[in-house]
Amino acid sequence: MSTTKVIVGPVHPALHEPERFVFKVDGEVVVDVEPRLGYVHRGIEKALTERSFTQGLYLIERICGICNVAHTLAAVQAIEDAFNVEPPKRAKYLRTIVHELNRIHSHLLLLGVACELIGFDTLFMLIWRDREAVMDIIEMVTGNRVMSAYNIIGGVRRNVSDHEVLEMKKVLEALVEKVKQYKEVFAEDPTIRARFVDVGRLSRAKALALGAVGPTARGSGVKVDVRAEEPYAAFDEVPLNAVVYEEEDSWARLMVRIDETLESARVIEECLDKMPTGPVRVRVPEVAPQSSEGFSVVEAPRGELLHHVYTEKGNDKPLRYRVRTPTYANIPSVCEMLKGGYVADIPAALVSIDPCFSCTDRVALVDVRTSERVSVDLLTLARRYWR
Amino acid sequence: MTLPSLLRRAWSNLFKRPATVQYPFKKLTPPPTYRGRHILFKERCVGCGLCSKVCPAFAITMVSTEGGTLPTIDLGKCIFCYQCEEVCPRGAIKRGIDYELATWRREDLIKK
Amino acid sequence: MVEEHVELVEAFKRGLGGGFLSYEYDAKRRALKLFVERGALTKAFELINEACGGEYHVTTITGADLGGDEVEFTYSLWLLPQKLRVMIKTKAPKSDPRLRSLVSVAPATILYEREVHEMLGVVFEGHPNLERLFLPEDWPKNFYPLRRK
Repeated sequence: MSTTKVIVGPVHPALHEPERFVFKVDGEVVVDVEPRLGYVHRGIEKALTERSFTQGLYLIERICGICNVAHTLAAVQAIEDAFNVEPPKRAKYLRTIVHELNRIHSHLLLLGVACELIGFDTLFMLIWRDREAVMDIIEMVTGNRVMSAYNIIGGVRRNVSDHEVLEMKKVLEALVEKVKQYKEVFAEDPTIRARFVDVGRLSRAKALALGAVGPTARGSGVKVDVRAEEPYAAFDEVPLNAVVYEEEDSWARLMVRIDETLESARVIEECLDKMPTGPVRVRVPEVAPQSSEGFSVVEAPRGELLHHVYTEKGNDKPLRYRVRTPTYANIPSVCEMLKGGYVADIPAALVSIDPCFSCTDRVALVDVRTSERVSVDLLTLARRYWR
Repeated sequence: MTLPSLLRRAWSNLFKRPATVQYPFKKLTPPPTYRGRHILFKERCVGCGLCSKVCPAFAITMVSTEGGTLPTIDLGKCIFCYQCEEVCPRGAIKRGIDYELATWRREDLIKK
Repeated sequence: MVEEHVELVEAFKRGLGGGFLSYEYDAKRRALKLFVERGALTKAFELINEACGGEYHVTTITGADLGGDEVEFTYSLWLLPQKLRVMIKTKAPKSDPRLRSLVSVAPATILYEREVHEMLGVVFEGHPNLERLFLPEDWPKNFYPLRRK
């Protein structure tokens, strides 16, 4: 059963990496799904054992462009855990601020892309234009719009001036107003509701059993949010409320993200007010001071992210580095939520988990009645079946 | 009902300027923290080679010239993280804000 | 350590007997590490299931070859009611790298076991579909990338 390989082409801004699904369909209803991963396997876990900790940090940042702050944050926290080093307080607050800014930009990206996928291009453009303001302040604080290179072992690389603090507050205030309008649109617009409500059903029991994380789990009533349950960085002093919806469908997952955007804006404002003065970085040894392991769990925009590192005393390279990304954990849940739905609902269900890899793969439809195989790519699927 | 609010915004957008900046004719200046093309102060460099050792992308090579041993940065490999700036003991590499780095040939990317 | 953690450790001692080797509590991270024998893994998961009424979340399985003649496994779990992170650690010798699969007890482990299998050469007995996950089909057999030489 070999299907053709994949388009890597970035036809779509939110879909980055290829993946293949083989659907078994009975008419229009999906009966079974089989995923095939690994098209962008880069051997990162192996490469990290051959690079020093600081060099490896920049490779880790490029595991995912949209969640790069979450990856570097988890990495520096894990390495600091293994080295037994504590970063200064101001650094923790700054890390939290950039982490939440990253989350806002990622959620706005997904909301725009979800609208584009169902054909609501106006809302896509409006959301992305407001997202540009967030990209500008990320550029102002960290030096680059996407790859922030802000977290480093022992703290952060740059301090933030008072003028920058004021600028951030201004931008966030304007953004919150717009996002509240978008929340109304998503809640009430009949087209969006027709396309996302009751699509991609994932019951709470299944979400928990299959290991769903992030908004995929929180849209099904499972209350797990690392920032609230296992606080890290400044979240122990600036507590956060986890956003949970009970509707168990794609619409709930999108609404979770909108509410999280508003919650993140609130957390950033509180951090900017409460941030203590002081140094932003401590010096850290080049080589590991002890043979131990460190792990760190953070809430990336897509869910729970775990970094696990084993160090050896006197070695400047890690012995073993393990990264478990959130979309990897959501794959069994995606297969479950696609079963029993229509073929036409596949993209709407897929985009609601915020896949961090491209689903513009060759999707092969196998009609169980005739055993005929038709190979079609996702964009054609979208056009042929809905528009 | 929310549809009117969205329609109102769409209507008012008709009368506003487009949000796109017409790039080659109008160029935006990035903020001073932007990580662009490097500025190398050759007279400060002592040739220690730390920048080359620490570079995560292996983009810096130390080249012997008549002025001493100087770093050469391959902008095609560089990721603009500026670890080289952090580690330089004399402050010979500094951050610049030039972002127009395109060249006709790949060899021209290796900054002498 | 608070009472719930002590209860869990006691339940493990009772339920696993000799299979339970030791425990370590990391107060800074609120994480409990439990070292068990590889044969006692299924029972350990059943005890966890009981202790939190089925409300637990499997984060990942990490397999690590640290240079010795054993491969160390860490099963990271998050228990919802107790809000506790539990890491169950076990070892398997490289000469006989086999473990029982936990897919029937915890369905979330299905993809993680496939990855550990292809990267470290560990066989999970009872896994429904132990195929390659990330490596391409034409990758040479018996060559496991994360094993040290």
